[in-house]
Amino acid sequence: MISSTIGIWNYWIVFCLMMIGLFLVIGRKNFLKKIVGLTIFQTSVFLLYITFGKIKGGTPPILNESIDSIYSNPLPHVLILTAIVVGVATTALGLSLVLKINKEYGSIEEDDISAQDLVDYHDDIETRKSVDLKFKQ
Amino acid sequence: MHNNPILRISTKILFAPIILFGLYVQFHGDFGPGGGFQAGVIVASAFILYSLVFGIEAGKKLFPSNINLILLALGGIIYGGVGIVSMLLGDEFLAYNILGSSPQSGQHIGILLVEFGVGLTVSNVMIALFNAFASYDKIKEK
Amino acid sequence: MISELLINAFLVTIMLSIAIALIRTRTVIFTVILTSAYSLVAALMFITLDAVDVAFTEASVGAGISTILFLAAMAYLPKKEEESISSEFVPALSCIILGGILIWCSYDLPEIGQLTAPIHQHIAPEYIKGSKEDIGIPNIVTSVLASYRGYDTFGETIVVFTAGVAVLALLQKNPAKKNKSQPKQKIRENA
Repeated sequence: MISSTIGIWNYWIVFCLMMIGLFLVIGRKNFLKKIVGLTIFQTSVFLLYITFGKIKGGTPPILNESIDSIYSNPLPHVLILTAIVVGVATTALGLSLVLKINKEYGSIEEDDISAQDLVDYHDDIETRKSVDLKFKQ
Repeated sequence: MHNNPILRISTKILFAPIILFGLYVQFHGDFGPGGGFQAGVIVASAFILYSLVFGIEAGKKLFPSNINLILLALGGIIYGGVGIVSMLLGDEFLAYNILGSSPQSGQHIGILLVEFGVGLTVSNVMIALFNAFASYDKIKEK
Repeated sequence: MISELLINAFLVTIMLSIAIALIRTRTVIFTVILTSAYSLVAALMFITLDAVDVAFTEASVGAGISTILFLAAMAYLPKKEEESISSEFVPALSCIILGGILIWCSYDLPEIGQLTAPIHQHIAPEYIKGSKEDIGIPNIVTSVLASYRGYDTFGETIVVFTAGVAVLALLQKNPAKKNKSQPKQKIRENA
């Protein structure tokens, strides 16, 4: 019982971490926190993949002299290795978008930004109405 | 940070060994843990450390950004070029067997070149990212 | 064998506590440093799960470069996170329900480290055999990365390249663009 619980304990925690990442993305209004949430989610997915590749009593997948050694599955390692580097590149892209948003709106809180957008929208409508009136006259 | 002697001297001492370690990781990737991705990041971290301690202008003087941009693209071109060469020699895209005298030596040459291309791209992307973020101008308060 | 799993369970629980601390903190610098610590513990996890290459990458990229980029971006951003006006109840509830479903499904997953798990039956044995005979490189990860799955890695390199170029394009100073946005401002002032 205990060993079987420990056997899937990793999965449980990985799912909890995923949900914490998801909560940071959808629950928090701060854009930087959202990107951190994405990073958390990403790393937990990496952990899930690597957990699948583990074999009990296996060695890292680097060939050695002894014939009867078991190697852990190298395929998830390859997939995740490249995904980590791509992940940091896309994180940097997200951060640069956040910087741009901060420059444009002076805030990175979602509530502030949507409020400003709403004001802009009404302004635009009024501007358009007045331009239309001028045009008709 | 510019006037702290401990940081300046230790950066100068550490700079070359970090790059050496990066090259070791790059070319020892066939036999132990390592490869282009990790080596690229390690080499980039040496330049980033230099920029952090001596300022972004000194870092740009050490590694000009136009060279950075050229090398950024060159890595991908090397990777694709290996594929094209193997196509021109009469095999499929990125089939390394034909590059050497025997299939195994062909694979060795192909993997070495490809990893070098990956390392070049990754290191230059990381340096370019850091430079872009560090030299981004301050926002004007609204 | 059980000790290996215990170390695993211990490290993964540390990761969970760091993640909970991340939810609670509202200061940006703590957020960044906790993310770095999270990556570092993840790298330790990867070592215990036999993924040395991945651990190497996570330690250098996730805990190193990623933190530096976050710190560099942080310099231009507000230092504190504001308390949100709207309630966080609905997102939290949906996350808990989804997490519960995932945990319920985890009983169907194979236990960690079973040699009979489906993932180990498919193509990995061929890679392990082929790396010795066809390619002659001891590090199987490198041989799969660069040779068997060269297309993948080519694509990933191009993605990294594209992301770098996109960041450069976004963050470049562009004086021509400022003049462009002025007419719209003028209309608004006139109105």
